[in-house]
Amino acid sequence: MSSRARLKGSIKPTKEEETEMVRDILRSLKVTFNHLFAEKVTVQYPDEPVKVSPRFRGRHILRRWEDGKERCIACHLCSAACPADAITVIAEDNPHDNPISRGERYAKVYQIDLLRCIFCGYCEDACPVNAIVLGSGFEISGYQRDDFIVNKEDLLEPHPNSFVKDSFFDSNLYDRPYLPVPSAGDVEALIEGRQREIEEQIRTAKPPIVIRPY
Amino acid sequence: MVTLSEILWSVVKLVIIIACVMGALPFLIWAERRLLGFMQDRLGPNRVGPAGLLQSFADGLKLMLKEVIVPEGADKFVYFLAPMLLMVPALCTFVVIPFGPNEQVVDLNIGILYIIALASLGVYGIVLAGWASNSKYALLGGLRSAAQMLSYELGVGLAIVVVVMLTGTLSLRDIVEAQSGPLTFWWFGRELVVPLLPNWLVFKPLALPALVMFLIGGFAETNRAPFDLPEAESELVSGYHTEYTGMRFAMFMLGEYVNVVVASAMVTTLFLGGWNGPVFPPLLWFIVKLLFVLFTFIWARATLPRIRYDQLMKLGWTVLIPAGLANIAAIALYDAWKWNRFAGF
Repeated sequence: MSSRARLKGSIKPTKEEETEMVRDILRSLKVTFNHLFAEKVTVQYPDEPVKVSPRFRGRHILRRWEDGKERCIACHLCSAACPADAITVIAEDNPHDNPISRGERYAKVYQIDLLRCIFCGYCEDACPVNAIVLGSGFEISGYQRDDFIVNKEDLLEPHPNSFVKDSFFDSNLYDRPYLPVPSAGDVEALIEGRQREIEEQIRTAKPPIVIRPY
Repeated sequence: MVTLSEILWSVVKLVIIIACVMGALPFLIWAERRLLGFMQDRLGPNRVGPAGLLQSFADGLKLMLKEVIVPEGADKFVYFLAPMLLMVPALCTFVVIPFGPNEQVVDLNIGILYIIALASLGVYGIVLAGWASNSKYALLGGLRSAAQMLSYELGVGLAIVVVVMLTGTLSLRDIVEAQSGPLTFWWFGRELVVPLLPNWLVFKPLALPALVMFLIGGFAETNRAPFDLPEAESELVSGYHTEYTGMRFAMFMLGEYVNVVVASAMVTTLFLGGWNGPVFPPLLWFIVKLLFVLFTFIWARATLPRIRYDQLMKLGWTVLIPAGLANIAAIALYDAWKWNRFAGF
């Protein structure tokens, strides 16, 4: 076939192209036949769990130490870092006989407005004790807006000794290896260090972060 | 003389066969959707009933509850007649298909011609549906379909002539019986018998081009991928049945699948030896072969993209018909050689 005919838009295939066509048809039949037995990619979602990436940012989880003490020491860094102003923390001094957290104070109220939350993960980064993490849970739905205001009871990991099993709190899904896990003694120092970091960030940020009252 | 009991017996057989075919269609549709899914790494419909087996019934129920819409300016009589014109001839062909030695309603001595004639009648349903709908998409689909089916009927007809020349009969039962026993060739005045292989036409090199032609023509005549231009959804919405809703649409859909079953049954009868086969009962052999051909139909649909209209016409007129004529000429020469030997030349 001449190049001239090609330029004129002729659709006549050459002899080689014709044999190629037949071979390609047979080859593609083989491909589809092999895919008949191949593993299927469909996830039958409500029946099967959806696997999310370890870096997935789902609903928040408030973690505990291995002995069951709450990690959160009510330092308010998460609510300061939150660009959507979704986190409300009210602190209270730990009772001396039976401390709830390992710091001076603990969170009496820890409330997240999931309708405001943009799942950016800044709270996770700000937390000096890795108390708040974004888990893998994404099945967040409710019948009214109040259902999306979640409190400490909803967010807190079950006690290590408890029998409660909830896929929201499958630590395999939110234990991030790149987050340093501080030991108990470092907590106070960590808070101070992180507090300075955050303050520095707030000071140098352009435009400055405006912290609005809730 | 045909007695009353013979007529009654035929009617009973006919009712049973049509009931079986119509009963199997929902499962054929389900199988097609699941196989297509599997071939595309999906699961296909699997929620309604065990493994999704009842999916087609759910769809049928939905279609029954749909409103019947008649487009403005449609030719009402023809519009309602068209689905039946597609469906009825398709079902009529089951009269002559030999499912087994005793499972054939009637053995017409021109069975193949009867099937060709009814297959041609099916075009009317599609063309009239396209014309009566008063819609440009339906009309274009109907016209395409008419042109396509007329072109490919010739190729299919030539493939059938090859079978008729090799078996020497137009009766479907005799064609199947001609394919019984071990594979036999005539070669230099001797009968060569190939043990182990059955005498089906697939194994005869002279019938192989005809089989390929018949399959391609079958895809085209049933308006299925890769020749589903009449309902090319990317350009014609859904072609000739664009304006049909509810059960009338379902009739087109079922008619298409009946046609697929007829085409597969024809391939089985003409080329795969019909009910012939060792050990198992003849009916089972026929059904297994039928399912195999149906699988080929689905397989081709999952694999091949729709071809362009000019390519379709070109394939029909410049490839299939010359190939068919060449095949017929080859068999004619072979036969002439064979009969001359017998006549002592």
